[in-house]
Amino acid sequence: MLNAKGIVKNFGGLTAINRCSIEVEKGSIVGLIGPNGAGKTTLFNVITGMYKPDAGRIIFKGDDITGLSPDQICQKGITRTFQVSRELKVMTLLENILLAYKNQRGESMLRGIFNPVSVREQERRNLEKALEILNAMRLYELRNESAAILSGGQRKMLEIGQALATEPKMLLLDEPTAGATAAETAMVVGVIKKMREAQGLTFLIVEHKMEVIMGICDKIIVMSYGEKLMEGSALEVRRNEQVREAYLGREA
Amino acid sequence: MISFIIGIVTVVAIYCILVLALNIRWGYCGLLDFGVAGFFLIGAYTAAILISAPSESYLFGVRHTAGYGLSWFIGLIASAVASGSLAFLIGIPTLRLRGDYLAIVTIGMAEILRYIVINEKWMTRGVQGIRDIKRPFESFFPAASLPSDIILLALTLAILALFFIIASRLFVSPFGRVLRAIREDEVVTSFLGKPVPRFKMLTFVLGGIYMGVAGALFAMYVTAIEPYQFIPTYTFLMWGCLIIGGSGNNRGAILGGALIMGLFIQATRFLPSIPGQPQLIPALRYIAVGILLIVVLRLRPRGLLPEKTIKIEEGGGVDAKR
Repeated sequence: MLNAKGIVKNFGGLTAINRCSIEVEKGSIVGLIGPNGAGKTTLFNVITGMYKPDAGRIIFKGDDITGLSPDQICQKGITRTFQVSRELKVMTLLENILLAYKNQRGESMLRGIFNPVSVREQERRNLEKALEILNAMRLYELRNESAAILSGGQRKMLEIGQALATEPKMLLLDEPTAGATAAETAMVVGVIKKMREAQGLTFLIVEHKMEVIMGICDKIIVMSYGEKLMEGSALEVRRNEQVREAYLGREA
Repeated sequence: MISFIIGIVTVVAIYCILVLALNIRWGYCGLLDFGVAGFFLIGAYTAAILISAPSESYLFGVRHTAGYGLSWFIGLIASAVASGSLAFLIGIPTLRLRGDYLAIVTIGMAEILRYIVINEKWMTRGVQGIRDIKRPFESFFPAASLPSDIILLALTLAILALFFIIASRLFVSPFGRVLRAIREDEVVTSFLGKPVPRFKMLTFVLGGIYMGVAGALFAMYVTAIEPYQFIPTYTFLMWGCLIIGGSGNNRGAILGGALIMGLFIQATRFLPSIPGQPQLIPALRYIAVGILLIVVLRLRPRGLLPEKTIKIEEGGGVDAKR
């Protein structure tokens, strides 16, 4: 599904990612872990078009998407969420979700002004879908409230809901449970599992909560200092000596 | 008296179009536009040159020509096209930049245009300005007659109403939703698959068209334009109108425009002038606007009529509530 080959990203003299290659199979949930500063978020930013890599290629479903802009990459079917959630605070929850749908006819200026039946029809269909998403995220009651009032965990839920509304083929979640309570974390995990089963969505997840990563991932990729340290199942990662060193340092 | 009131309402309505345009650019999309006066100027001079009767004059041996004597309607459309095209050209290099750079470029552009107009005398007659700009149906109703004033007022109000309706429909449309998202967080909006530069460009050009039409109406209203009418002060007065009225709210934009420009033009008219200090009383107008700005920001930081939250009901109806 997604194949990033030999990605290099430098910031001045600092090499944030150094010849990193990852592969994500269709319908799988892949975890990306590593100590702070390992380059996980930078890798996300390279894959989703925020940064252009200095070397390497990114292939998505057979297409080379290296160097495309974020909106083009989203149109191809990859949507991401952010480490610190960036919901649109002046908008209501419902608007946050409605915004995300693709190919909206009313996003043309002229059709926006004249608001023909085709636009209203599409808005109504999207509204139904948006309400379903909010329901699944347990945010239905708050649908007409401003997104500014949400708690940290609810923000994460809204952001995931927004990402789902883009109807992606693959989701990149950057710490989807950061700031979430235990109950909310369980909900996020539940939603991820359900989406994979119901829609065959593919996930790449950066997460620091090991119980989340170990519980849902088919494959775990460990990064350290911008390089891929290893990849394997939860069990293999847990047993690996290098991984332990990367996180905890070498024994004296 | 009646003609005096008609005149005030007309010019205030023209400025309200500018505030409305600024609201689309800044209030909807967060484009930091400090070049309002420049787009206004382009509209006014395009219309003036096309509409006014051909005339020639000599000053210090330099020949100044101006005027093509075309119909007012052509002038109006040409102003919209000229100002919209200017917005497009400025938008190409600047709309990718951060907001403050757009502000610098637009204010610079407005001043450069004003100096071009001052210096390119063969086209604009420089500081002498262009005179005898024809009003609509001038052959039937001569300028400075009541019917002519009423016709221009009706035309101005009709255009203001049309622009208001267009702006309001855009605000609640999916297009407007993307604009508000861009204003809040450009990065998120692009990661949600929206081509942000394209939306910004459309918004910038639409604002330019509004401002150009306002310029054409202004030229027909005053019938004689000169560069001094397009100093940056007017850009910042428009900002004052929008902030006091309520950024993001079209009614607020109109209210702010009517209040501030009405005040600005008329507040000191009935005060006696101080002998030997002719500049003192007119300068009070700026002080009045400044005080009003401070008071409103203190008491109603989001303006007199703040932006409304759009609440959507299950039936599919869109309800813009405060």
